[in-house]
Amino acid sequence: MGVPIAIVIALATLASYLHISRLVRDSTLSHLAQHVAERVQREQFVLLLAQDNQAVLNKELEERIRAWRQQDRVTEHLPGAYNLIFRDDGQLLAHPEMRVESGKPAYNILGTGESGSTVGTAAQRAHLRAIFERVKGRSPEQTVLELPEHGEYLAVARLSGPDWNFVTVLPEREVSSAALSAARYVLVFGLASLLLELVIVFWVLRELEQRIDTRTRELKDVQSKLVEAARRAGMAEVATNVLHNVGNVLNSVSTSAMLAKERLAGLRLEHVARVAGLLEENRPRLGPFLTEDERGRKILPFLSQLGNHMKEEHRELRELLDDVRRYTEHIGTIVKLQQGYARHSRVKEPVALEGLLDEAVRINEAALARHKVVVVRALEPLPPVVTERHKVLMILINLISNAKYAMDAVPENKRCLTLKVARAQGERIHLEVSDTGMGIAPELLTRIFQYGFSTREQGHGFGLHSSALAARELGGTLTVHSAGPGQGASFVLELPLHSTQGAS
Amino acid sequence: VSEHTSKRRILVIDDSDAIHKDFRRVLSPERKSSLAELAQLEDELFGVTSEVPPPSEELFEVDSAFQGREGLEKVREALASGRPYALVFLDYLMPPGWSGVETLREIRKLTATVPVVICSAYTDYSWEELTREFGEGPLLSELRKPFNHQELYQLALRLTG
Repeated sequence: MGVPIAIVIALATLASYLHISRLVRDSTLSHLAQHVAERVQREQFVLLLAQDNQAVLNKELEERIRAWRQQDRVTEHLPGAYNLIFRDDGQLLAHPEMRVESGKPAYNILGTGESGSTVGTAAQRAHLRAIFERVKGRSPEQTVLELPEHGEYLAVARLSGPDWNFVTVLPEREVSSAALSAARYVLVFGLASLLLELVIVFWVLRELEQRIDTRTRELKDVQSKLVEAARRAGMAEVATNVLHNVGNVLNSVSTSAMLAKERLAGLRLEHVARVAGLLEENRPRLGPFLTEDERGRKILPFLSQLGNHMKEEHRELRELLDDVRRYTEHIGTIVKLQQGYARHSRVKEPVALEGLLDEAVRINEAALARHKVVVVRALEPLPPVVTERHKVLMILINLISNAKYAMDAVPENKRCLTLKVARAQGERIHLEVSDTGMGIAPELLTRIFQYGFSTREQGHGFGLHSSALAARELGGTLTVHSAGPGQGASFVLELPLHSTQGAS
Repeated sequence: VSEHTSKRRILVIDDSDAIHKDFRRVLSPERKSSLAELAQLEDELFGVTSEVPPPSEELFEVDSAFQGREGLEKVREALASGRPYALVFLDYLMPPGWSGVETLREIRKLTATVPVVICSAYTDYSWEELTREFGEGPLLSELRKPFNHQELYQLALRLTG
């Protein structure tokens, strides 16, 4: 913005300067012409008075010449200019510097006078000759002539009568210096404007730079706040899920435990003691009692039935207690995961990816099983990766959960989740979660990572967003590939093998 | 068929497998014939001293739906078949589909008389808002997970009675 203005100011200054110098030159030259005309008119009058009297004329002429020779009035108006008079035949009558000593014959410019004297230097004589030629060669109506080879202007008037030429010589530099002095304010003003403009531009640029700095800082703040908000929102979502999941699982734990207690009460262990008591009573004739007595005969079938019942109850009890153990472990996993989130100190530890993937699958296991999703693993054996365990786990859980949702719309026999781990170029690892689900339209491929964007009615739009952020924090990337709607999708998490760098 | 019609039909709509198992275990436990035989033998051996009540006929028939839409379809089918549900247990959070409230809204379009129990582990809803939309009274109640199995049994008994 500043540079065009500077150019405009410079051009305007230059144009003003040129215009003013032209005006000054024109006015100087017309002043010159006027001056010459006035002078000639004045001299002419004197000559006219003396016209009739040859003696008076001669005397007058002599006086004029003397006066002119002394140059007392010639240069009265135009500083730097001088006047000279010569006759058509070349005789020099007056010149401020080239004077002929009194009593000697006059100097002839053309150098034809046989008794001619010599005046001035050769250069002066040549100069004079050039002036003479230029004046003789002019057309009658021309009053101002240029003599470019000597850088001079000539104003010419003729004195009628004696065929005298009155010439005022004005060096061109006088004109241009007058123009310069007239235009110097314009130049100074122009330069001052230019400087002012440059100062303003500089100031504006510095101000702009400062504002950009401030803005950048503000944006960075907002960004980190947004990240924090996303993380909190993500944690809130996790907390919701945790409460929901723990509540559900706890329900099963409590139901199983209560039923187990009831079953235990229903085992009828007291009957074993009662049967033992009955046998004790009839110990002397135990054989006949068991085979002949009405009650005694029922003891063996009862014991056998009781045994069956206890076996059955024992099996169910074990099943119930197994459920209690399983559900409790499940709660433990959920809580551990929650702790992983809560502990956001950035602890890097060696992580076995295979185990981490298993964990991520296990957490989604119930849903995957319910939705009849087949899980395929293609895991290249890799050394443990040094990274932040819970972040990677969160990303994987998220990707697996998303993949499961993406396959809701496809037939059950076509729901396949593929987990791939491989070594990528440059000490990096490549974790891929692919599904055979609904796919992603090309225009949504970038939008899905946006904060708050979700294709699901119930979605919060934090999952992929915070996953992508987490990937970046780990010094990695999270990218998506999909051939389009109905073509499935695959998410690739690339991580450094040794996470030393971490973006802020 | 007569046995079926005498049972009180209950629909459980919840996205968790384990919860369905819990409902079944509480509301329609397996009654084994072996237990009846054993009780009979006990009576003969020790006289009528057993504290265990004789196995009663199952009171409830429990159906399962894992998503709101599926639940709505079951309610519709039951109505069409002339054997409507006597009670619906409805989870509040069932990703990815309808929430409990959305499902309830749809169910109410089909029938205004079936009692519904909102059953959730997470209280991300306002009971005031629910009663404002669906009205107060015996047709809408709440059961927090984890629930007590006796509490559940009594609630089912009361609401279907």
